[in-house]
Amino acid sequence: MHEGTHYWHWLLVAEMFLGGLAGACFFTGALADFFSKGKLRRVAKIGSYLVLPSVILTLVFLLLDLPPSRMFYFWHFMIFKPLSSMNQGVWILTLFTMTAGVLVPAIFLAEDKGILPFLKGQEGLRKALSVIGIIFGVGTMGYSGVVLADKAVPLWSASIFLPATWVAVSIVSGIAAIRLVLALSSKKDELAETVLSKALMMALIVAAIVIVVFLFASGDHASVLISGSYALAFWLGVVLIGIVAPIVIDFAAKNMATISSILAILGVFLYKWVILYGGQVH
Amino acid sequence: MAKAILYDASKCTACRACYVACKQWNVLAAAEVKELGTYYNALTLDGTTWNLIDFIEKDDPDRFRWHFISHRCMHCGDPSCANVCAAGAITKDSETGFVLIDNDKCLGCKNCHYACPFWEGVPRFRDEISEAEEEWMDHGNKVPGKRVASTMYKCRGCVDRVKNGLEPACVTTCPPDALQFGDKGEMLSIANARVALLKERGETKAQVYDPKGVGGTGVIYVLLDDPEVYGLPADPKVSTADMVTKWLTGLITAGILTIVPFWMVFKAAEAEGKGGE
Amino acid sequence: MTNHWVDLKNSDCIVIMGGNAAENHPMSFKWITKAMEERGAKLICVDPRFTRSAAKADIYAPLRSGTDIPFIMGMINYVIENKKYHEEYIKCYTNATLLVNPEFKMPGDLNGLFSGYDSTARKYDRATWAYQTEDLPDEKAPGGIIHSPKRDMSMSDPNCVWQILKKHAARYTPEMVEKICGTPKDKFLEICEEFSKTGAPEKAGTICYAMGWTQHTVGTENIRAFAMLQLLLGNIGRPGGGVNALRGEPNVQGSTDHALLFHIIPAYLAVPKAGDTFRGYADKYTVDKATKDVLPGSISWWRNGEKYLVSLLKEWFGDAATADNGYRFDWMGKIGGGFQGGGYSHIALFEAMYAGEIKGMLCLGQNPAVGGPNSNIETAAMENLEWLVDLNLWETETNSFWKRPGCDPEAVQTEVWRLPAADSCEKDGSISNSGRWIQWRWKGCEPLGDCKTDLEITDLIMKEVKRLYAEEGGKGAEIINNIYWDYSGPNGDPDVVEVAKACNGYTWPDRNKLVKNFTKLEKDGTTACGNWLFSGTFTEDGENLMQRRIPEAEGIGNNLEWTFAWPVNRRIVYNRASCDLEGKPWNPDIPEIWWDPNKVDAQTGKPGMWTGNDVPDFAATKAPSAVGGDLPAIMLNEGVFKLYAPCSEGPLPEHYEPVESPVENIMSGQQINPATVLWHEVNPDTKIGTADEYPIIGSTYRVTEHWQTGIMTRNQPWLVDLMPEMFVEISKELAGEKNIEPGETVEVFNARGSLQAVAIVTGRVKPYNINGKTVHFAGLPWCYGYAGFCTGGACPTLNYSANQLTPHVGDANTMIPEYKAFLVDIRKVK
Repeated sequence: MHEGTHYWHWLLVAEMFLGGLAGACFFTGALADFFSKGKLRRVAKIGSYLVLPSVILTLVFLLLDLPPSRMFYFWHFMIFKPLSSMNQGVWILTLFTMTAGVLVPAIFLAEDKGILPFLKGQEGLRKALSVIGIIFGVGTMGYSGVVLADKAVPLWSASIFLPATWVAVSIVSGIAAIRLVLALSSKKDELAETVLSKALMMALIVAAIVIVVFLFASGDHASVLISGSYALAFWLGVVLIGIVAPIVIDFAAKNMATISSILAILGVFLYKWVILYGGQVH
Repeated sequence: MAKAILYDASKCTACRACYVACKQWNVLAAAEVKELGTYYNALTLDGTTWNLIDFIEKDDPDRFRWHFISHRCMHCGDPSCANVCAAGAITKDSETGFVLIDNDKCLGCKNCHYACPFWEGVPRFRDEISEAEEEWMDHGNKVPGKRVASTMYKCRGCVDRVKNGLEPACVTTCPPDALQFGDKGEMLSIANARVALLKERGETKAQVYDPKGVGGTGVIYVLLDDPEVYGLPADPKVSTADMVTKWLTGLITAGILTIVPFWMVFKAAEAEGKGGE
Repeated sequence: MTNHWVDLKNSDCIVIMGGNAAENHPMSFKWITKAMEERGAKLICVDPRFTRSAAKADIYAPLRSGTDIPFIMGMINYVIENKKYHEEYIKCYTNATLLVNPEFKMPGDLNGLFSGYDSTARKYDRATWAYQTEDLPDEKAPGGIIHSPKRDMSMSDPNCVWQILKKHAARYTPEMVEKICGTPKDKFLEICEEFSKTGAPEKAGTICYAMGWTQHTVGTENIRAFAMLQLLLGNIGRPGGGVNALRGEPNVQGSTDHALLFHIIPAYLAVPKAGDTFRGYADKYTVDKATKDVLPGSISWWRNGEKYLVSLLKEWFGDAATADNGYRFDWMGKIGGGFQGGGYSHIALFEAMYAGEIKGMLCLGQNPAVGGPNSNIETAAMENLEWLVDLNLWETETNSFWKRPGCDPEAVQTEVWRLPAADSCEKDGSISNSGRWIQWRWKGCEPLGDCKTDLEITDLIMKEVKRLYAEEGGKGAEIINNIYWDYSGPNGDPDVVEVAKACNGYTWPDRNKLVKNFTKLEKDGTTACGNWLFSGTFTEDGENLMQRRIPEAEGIGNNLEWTFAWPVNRRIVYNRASCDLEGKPWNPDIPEIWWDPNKVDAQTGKPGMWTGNDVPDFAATKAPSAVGGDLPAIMLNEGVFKLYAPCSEGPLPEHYEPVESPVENIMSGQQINPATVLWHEVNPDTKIGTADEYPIIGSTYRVTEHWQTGIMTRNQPWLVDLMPEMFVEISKELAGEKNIEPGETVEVFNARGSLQAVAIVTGRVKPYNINGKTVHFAGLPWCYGYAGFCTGGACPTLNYSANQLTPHVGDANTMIPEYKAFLVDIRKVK
């Protein structure tokens, strides 16, 4: 009846997208390294190198989302308040940045470029840090979902599955981002591309299933996406462009890694966008 | 002992003196509104509007009804806004039970707004501090309500008045005594007695609104119809109640994805890589 | 109010009709709510639209604006037919038993007219309306004889008021009510049944009305009709009963008490007419009141009128007023017939101004450019003024009438002075509420800048006028030079306490002893008193009783030690009627007063006195068994209340349609009030429209959020938030017919003007079924205009005042304009 307020907008979508991307890149890369016993070290490296820029952008967007006169008081968030998901996010992001964003890439750089020699060959340390990074990577993908899910906005909070979709789509974006970097790289890596295209396809399917579960569990509140004012963005942007198109492209043709990765990344961004905006429709 | 404001919708005549009293006591600027063909004129809660009265027309089968309801901070027993605030800027006053925003700590992130289950999110953002407020603060009126630009605002229960032995401004001004103030227990018993009386007078749907899901509220309503008729959630919950479960769905999904696709394809890559060697 | 605000809590049934207490008198609901909560009182609301009062009511019924008389006469008919009346009360306390001239004929016999009508003069000869009288000896009366109405205590004489009333009311059947008012019959009967329960001796019901009843061409009769119903049910003089006009301004009671209206001088003495002499005027009070229409033993208090007149003249002319010169009654202003014989009411004055017969206007406490009817004509009339002096806090529509939309300022020659006035919070003084409580208020702060209080401004003007006359002389200089004018306080400035003391009254010529109350005023020039009803506001020792603030510890709500109420601190007037013939309260649970045979009168030492929770409105030692001990109406000659009371349009209320009505009067062939002045026949520019051109009923009203013409509130941004723009309330059905969307801007127009408003399309307004015809309603708030912070709309070249549409026609007695029922049409703004 009354006009609703619409405070949160694309800056927050960008922040949530980039945070998820950062977490997912590291998660994907580190797991690729672990499960392939080092065969996909390049994937791990790209993944870890992508973390810091993404995180920095995340923090920039996070700051920009605060009012200009308040953004430099951001340290007010640096208290310990475990009940607040946003406060959890602050610490998760901090610890993730230190491990996955700084230390692990530093060790890789020490190995490859010879800088910071004291880190060279610290395999044990890297593995330990990677495990921590994986854990905080999941946290980074998940916390912004929880930030939305512990609100009184029905689309975000009526079901318990919003964080699940957040993790799933973030991983899609992480796989696609690494694959995109590989595809754009002059140094081709057939194995990595094959593996990642498979992973992307499967991750997309898992994400689609999780989204379906989320929509069903949300009941009527999901109607804004199914048939409401964000239906076009959802069906065309998320479902068709973001999920169906990459799968079909990868299924139908090789050498289309760039396109399908970009579409998948776009779909993830759009998914977070329609959720954030769709939730604020009254 | 926790205090409570009792708003009796059956007594309210929608004169809106509460709106003006609130603006006056709290030095709040006028809103800018346009006549939209209703009596509420698209007023909404905002950084300078901490309470308002809504008008609801309802054509019941037996009679036409015009319901009035006060939109305001409910001062929850377990306030979601305080729970989600990452800066710890929102606290529950131990003496009165009022939920208060410390605008010095607040960063204006609007997290609390979305966490609030009432009135489409009670805490609202305000970008500017008026000259009148500056002047008011210059007179030493900083505690407990210092005004900071670009932070969140909502009803403070006139905690400054209450701690000096007065009632909140809206309560003091209410002509038909539709607003009352006192210890929560006392307010509840008044509300229950009123509902019993209303039922006797044929108001079969009369009820007290003090939802348990948010730990009870510091603003109790006497309603003449179901809460949804007034735009109130029938059974609001503390928004952070399922946070752990919600985290778990995320973690489980991460676990699933660890296996499908990552374990599957990367493990295969290890084998493939071996074969290749 | 015969009663007072707090007393509403003693009621068993409250009717809100002709008013909107919740919106316009919010504080009334403190007490109405209490009655509902603590006494189980029922609240009934009858209104053309579903208001905020209706929202709180147990029963709501719609009624077409302008049809209150059929509704109430229908209730009276119900009460009589179903024998719900309080028989002993009407037999002994009303004129039901009195006999009327057998020549008297009623509208049922004469097609809507009473006997004695002169259609050319549009006036009645009241000869056939008089009582049948007999001369009885009376030792108190001058001449020893009273002309007493004949009385038939069996009430069976066909010429007795009871039989006349029965016959008259029988025409207003529930079916007729439904056809005229558009009120569903079952709702009407539900209300009749509920309210008539207060006819039980121990029950009391009340009515809260305001301008919804007065602002009609039949306004006086609307109120009389309900007063009659209250008498039939025995509700007058009773706690929780009465006829209660809710005053629309905080001090409108006070201003009326002090003769705001043209037909009275202070404290309701009749205004002298041209040709009146002191003796002739005074005898109308002393002789007429003491002998004419008087039942034996009737107190007939107005026989004291001469004392009040003389004391008033002493206050005005001081030493110059002596017995030999008739206390300078000849120096008083006197009225003639007014412009075109239409009196000196608001409409008549503005018609005279329009005709160029008024040179100057001193305007204070009002904003006629917004508040006056047919305001386009009235603002045009102001252009004929040579000068206008306006006292106000703001730039108002009135003091900027030359800047109004559509007016060329250069063409207006009127010289306008704006005198900056002080707000009520910036001055000390008394303020009289609807319940006649005269409460003292203290200023909260000093007036801003050059602003002055009304008293200071009046004092300055008076002193300057006196100086000019003293120095230069002139016509009537003797009068001006002799006006007694000394209200200076200790520092030489005019002091409102001195004015208040003058109103209380004091002894002359020593001028230093305040009188106790008006029983101490004399007709020999030894007392002066500016307003006899305010006498008693000070004690003889000078204590200001208006400053008292002691809430009652126990009692029935009369709070006798909270301020002072006129007369003599009495809270419920005519309270003798709260007791039965023996002086015992009808309702022992809420005893107002009672006869105590054992209480000893300190002055005479004899036992037997009236006593109780209020100041008895009766001779304190007059026993119920004494002659006239059962005549409670002490202000009326008869001593009994009038069910039958001659007014301009007849002695009983009869339905006439508003001057602009969408339907024909089905009660009779007399369409409109036969005694109303028809200004449009005098001034063709004052137009009246027809239902063919303008089929929708328009009505104006206030909203809680804006006060009167909006001058105070439209400059207050918080209130502007709440009601920002001019609107019109219409039904969904009418909106459908006219293809109007909610929130859309529409044009409301009629023969007199047009204005733009935002459409509020609401289920609270429903079309009426009037005798088979669908009639629509358009409700308009009248608080907007074209000046100030908020004018009522976005366009600076538009006038948003609803009174552009209201007609220049008024009640036949009071001449209050018919703001509440007129014709309009609506269209979308392209």
